[in-house]
Amino acid sequence: MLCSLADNLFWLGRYLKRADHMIRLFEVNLEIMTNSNYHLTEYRWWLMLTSLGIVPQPNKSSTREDEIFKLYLFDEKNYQSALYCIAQARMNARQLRSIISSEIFERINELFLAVKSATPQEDQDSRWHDFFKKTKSQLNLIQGSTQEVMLRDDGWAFLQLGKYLEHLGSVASLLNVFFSDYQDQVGSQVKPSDYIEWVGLLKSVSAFESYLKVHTNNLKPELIVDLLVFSQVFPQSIRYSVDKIFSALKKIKECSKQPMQDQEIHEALHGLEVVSKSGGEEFIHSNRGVYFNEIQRKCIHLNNLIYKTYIEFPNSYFVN
Amino acid sequence: MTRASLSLINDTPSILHRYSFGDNFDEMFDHHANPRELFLGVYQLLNSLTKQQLNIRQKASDLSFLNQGITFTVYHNSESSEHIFPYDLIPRLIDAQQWRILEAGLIQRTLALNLFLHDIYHEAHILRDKVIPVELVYTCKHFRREMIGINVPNKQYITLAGIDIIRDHHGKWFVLEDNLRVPSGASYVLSNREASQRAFPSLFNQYGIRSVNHYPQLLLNALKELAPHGKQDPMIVLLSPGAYNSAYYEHSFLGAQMGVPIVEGRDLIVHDNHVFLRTTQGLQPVDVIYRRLDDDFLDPLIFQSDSLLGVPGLFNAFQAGNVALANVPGTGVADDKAIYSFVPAIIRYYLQQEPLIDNVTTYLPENPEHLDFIKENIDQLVIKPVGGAGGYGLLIGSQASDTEKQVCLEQVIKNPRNYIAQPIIRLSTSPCYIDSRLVSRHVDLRPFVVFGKKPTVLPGGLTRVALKEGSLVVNSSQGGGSKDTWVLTG
Repeated sequence: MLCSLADNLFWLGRYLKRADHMIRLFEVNLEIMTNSNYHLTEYRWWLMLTSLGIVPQPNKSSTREDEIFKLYLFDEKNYQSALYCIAQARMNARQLRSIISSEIFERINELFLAVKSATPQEDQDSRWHDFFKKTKSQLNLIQGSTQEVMLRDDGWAFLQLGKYLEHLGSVASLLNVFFSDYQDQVGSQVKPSDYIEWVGLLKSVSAFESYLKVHTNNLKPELIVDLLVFSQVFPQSIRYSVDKIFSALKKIKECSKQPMQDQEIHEALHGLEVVSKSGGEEFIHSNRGVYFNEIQRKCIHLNNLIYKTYIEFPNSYFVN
Repeated sequence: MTRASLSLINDTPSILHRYSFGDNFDEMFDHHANPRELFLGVYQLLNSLTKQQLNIRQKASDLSFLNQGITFTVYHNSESSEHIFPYDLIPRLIDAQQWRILEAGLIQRTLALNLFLHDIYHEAHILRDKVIPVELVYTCKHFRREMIGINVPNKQYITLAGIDIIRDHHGKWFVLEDNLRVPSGASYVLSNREASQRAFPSLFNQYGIRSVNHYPQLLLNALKELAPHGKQDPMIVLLSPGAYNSAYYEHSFLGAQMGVPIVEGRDLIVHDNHVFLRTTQGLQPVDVIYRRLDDDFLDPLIFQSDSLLGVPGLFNAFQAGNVALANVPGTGVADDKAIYSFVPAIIRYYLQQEPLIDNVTTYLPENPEHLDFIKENIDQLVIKPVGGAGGYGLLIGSQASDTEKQVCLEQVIKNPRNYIAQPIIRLSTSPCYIDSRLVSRHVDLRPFVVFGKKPTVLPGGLTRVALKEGSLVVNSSQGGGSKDTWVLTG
């Protein structure tokens, strides 16, 4: 695997997941805010943007919905927008045509063209709904195509590594912001007035229906944490992402003559493993913020370690 | 010659109604506006289709091109924009007998040019025998002194040639120019075929049409032949300037279809005169490079020193025989437009044969008599820069203003080696479906010659279309499009 292609695959995975996460967050937030009882619109947008790692600039963006949509969904030049992520995914995919199938490229290209040309009108709320639905469907199609046709080699591992590292950081950030705002709810059933927020959290990571299936409509913070953080079988959980990252690194190591050292992997992921052994109730009473911050820090560290080992080819290395 | 128009012979309001092509040579109709026998099947189908039916087919093709990312980039000032490569639905047909002549002519030309390249970089017999003026070769921008005395694998300088051929208003074929450096367009041949198969499946059943789908395999096999030391399973890569290059779609398509890595300069490293790929598994040796970079950008240590696209040390590795390059650096001297005028002489010199396809008459301003002719007849001439490509920098006398002609002549007089002049040839026309109308547009043809063990011509090639009414410029960067070319079996 060419180093540059490994880089392309890693970022293809990251950008697609980032775009997916953003689209879902926007959809859920819009849904919550169109609820007639909702009065905290500006605060809600602030929370969402913060969870995405975006610090809203007072002179550049306002909390007006249409401004936010324009800037963070459709501004191709704004590196924090969904369209930028999709454009970057497409650019990476263009360079990967010898690795990914033409079907996958075409799906990514179609997604880019659709989002770039999307102009939902302010006065037609239903068009937003259609836009999000269609975009999510296209993103799912891309994930499905890659799942079906890509070889399970080190290229696949780099794609998965990017995808799950991105997801890990995104979910950790989302939960961090959410829990810092809802400390009072811990340990009891969620208040009816906050019900919509908790449902929103679950829907942000496509977890609401899975939650109902496992716990019925009995929303409790510790059970929600169980699903979103510790579940080994729910693909959007932190635990699941960590497991996938481990598997991807193992596969890359098998294929490489310059493998990342075991110790380095363990160091990079240490902490995630420890916490993943505890349960929701124990976790909910612990210092959650520190844990989520640590995950985000580990994600950055791991990203740098992957770059150092596999992407930025060590100049000192030569064949004897 | 009468002005032909189908409105005279066709009373039904079909798509062919009012199709006219003036006194040009039309590929589909004779001068009495009767469909040529070869085209009867296409003619009958078009007669049976409504505009709506054709529009559906055209839209489906356009959408397919768009979704597949079959695009090219046009640079204007500092801005660049991505465009779909315009595809016209109506195929161009060439019968088997005519193709056999063209094929033989193209092979003959490629063989002769390859011998010419070997000769001028070694003994230079052709220059000593004064068949070509010495100064014409040595002043050519693409002549590479670094190549003198270097022995290339199988004495093969040309692995891929794109030779542009045209038909004049009598239907006679000519070679317009040779492209031997990094000829592009083959990917569009394959995409066009896929589109026409979808648009007109019934015609494929009706006609015996020679396949073009094996092109990537043909090219891959030719590249394998170049492997140093006869290596059996060589590592072949396609070297591209990168995703921002205007032809990147073609690079990625061909790389993917051949199953070889598409690399950029940063992916390669030269150590001890060997070329390696930077991979996650360490350094992997490279044997053959299908390069899609001009010579200037290949190696900053030898050629353009500020190039960031190439690989430092690549030329030394090539010179040492450890890596093969296709095409070989320095082939550009043979597609110089001034050298072009000597290709018939080159064919006679090396092959002792008469050229099977004629050249277009060419005037070299360095010759005082030719320069006088050019000055007196610029209205009937096309002036071209010798190293130009993409249709940039040419002047068509009949369409230029007095000022433009004056400025052009001044440049020609100032630097005569840099220009040639040719009579304006009214290229043949072909029916094209544009804006829901069937209209005639001028076309040329770029067939591709792949030179492995022996030269092979891909049946057909890229028919390029000047989409603007009356225009003779077919280049995609100048508003040109393309259509599928069907070479019939028989």
